[in-house]
Amino acid sequence: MKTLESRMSLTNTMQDIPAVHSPITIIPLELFIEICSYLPPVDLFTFSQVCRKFRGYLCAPNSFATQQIWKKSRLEFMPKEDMPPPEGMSEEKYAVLLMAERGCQICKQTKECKIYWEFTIRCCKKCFYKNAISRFDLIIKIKCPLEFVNIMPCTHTGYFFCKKYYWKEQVDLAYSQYYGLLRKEKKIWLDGKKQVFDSIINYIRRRELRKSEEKEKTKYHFLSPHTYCDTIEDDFSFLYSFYSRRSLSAPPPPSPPLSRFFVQSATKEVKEVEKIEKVEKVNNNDVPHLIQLHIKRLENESYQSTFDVNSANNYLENSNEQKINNFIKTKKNKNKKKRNNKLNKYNMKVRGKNFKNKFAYRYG
Amino acid sequence: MTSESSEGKKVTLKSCDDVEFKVEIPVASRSILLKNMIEDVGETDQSIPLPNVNEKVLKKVLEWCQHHVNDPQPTNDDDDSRRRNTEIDDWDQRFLNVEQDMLFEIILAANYLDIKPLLDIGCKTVANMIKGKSPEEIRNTFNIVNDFTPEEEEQIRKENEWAEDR
Repeated sequence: MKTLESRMSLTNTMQDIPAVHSPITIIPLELFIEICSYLPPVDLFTFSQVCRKFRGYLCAPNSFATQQIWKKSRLEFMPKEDMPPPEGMSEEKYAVLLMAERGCQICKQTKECKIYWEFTIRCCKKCFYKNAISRFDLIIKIKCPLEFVNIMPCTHTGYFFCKKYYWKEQVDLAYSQYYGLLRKEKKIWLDGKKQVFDSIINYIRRRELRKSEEKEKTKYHFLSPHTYCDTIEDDFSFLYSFYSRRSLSAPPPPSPPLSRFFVQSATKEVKEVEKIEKVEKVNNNDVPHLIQLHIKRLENESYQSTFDVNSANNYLENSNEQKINNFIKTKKNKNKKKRNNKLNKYNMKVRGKNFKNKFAYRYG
Repeated sequence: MTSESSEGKKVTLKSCDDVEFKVEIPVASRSILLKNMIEDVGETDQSIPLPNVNEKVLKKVLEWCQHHVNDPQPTNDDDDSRRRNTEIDDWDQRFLNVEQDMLFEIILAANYLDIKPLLDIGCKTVANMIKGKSPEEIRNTFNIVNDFTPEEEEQIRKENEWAEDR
């Protein structure tokens, strides 16, 4: 074995033989690649989790050899997926995203899921609405600058009345970067981001075009949102710019992290999904539960009507606690949410500069 | 000089542990390395030293070459067709039903001697030992030490939770 190894310079790096004898870990890289060429992406993925060495071989976005291993495997075992990955995405990430039969990457339960290329994630509807935020909320409610929102990757839902959705985590992270930049730097940063987004959209368009070409024979197919929706959305853009301009003149753009807004603005859709589930459950058996729900709702309504300034002040004092609570209690009812929104806005005004400085310090 | 004209003639191979094997030229020519060497050197009584292969492995490899002596020579352009054919025939399966050390030594020797079909079935055999297994099962199969730190392992587990149920 040792003499065999000495033949190739490649193997010289592998001569530190481990205490436990394992021939597979000391084979030269070229043979490792050869063996991998017979493995589908799923098994490559498992193989990469065996030990450090294999992980190094198989998780290396910048290594040509690694990318070739995954590419070969994809072309061989997923012959339909012969499109190269979107610009900037590694082959291993691409292959993992394409394993649609594995179901939602977030809840890990639902099998029925969709790949959102814009967000490089594969998830089910429920997880999508939990983690995405609408353009409307982002601009009107959170008051993100339009120039920032426009370059963020977004996806469309629906066919005729479509809405743009953004991935909360992505927006939050990017906004923290954006916020800390000087005006000059911002422009360069925005241009760079726009290019990345454009290349993804380009990829999605090509993908959809191919799909529709495949469907040609069936005659009936709708153009999917990305191909025509922009024009519809742009009709409303004056509204957005109007709102954002107005809001720019009054309060400054919000400071990062945006995540604090996301909890409150938990989308209607999540509630709807949950409501549907609730109704389904209720329909299944208990009528008393339905009555209970109704009573609760009535109570909340009456509570809201007695809501006054005093209680607002009380809340102000406890607002920090409440914020923490918000993270825990995701299933808040609508009324409470409204109240919190008001309070937080008020809070922001009160604290004003201090707040800003704090975050400026944190995010440089 | 082609292998056909040299039928019946023999060539002597010498393993790294100095054991000599007299082999018919068509059998030895399964190895592209040896084939080219024989063509270059022409007829010779001198033995060809193979410093990277020991007696045990060379014997095994020559057994394979003998059995497959009449197979068509692989050409460069059927790279894809040999890949698509994932089946390993019965004789080869039995042939490769050896200890893991031996299996990897055969693969290394096939690679060195440039015997593509043998290298392919060797790698296929190893790939089949990996397919459909969990990381832990792969470690057990190949006697691999899990050298991840607990933190790294936790990280990997989190990343891949969704992939665990098959």
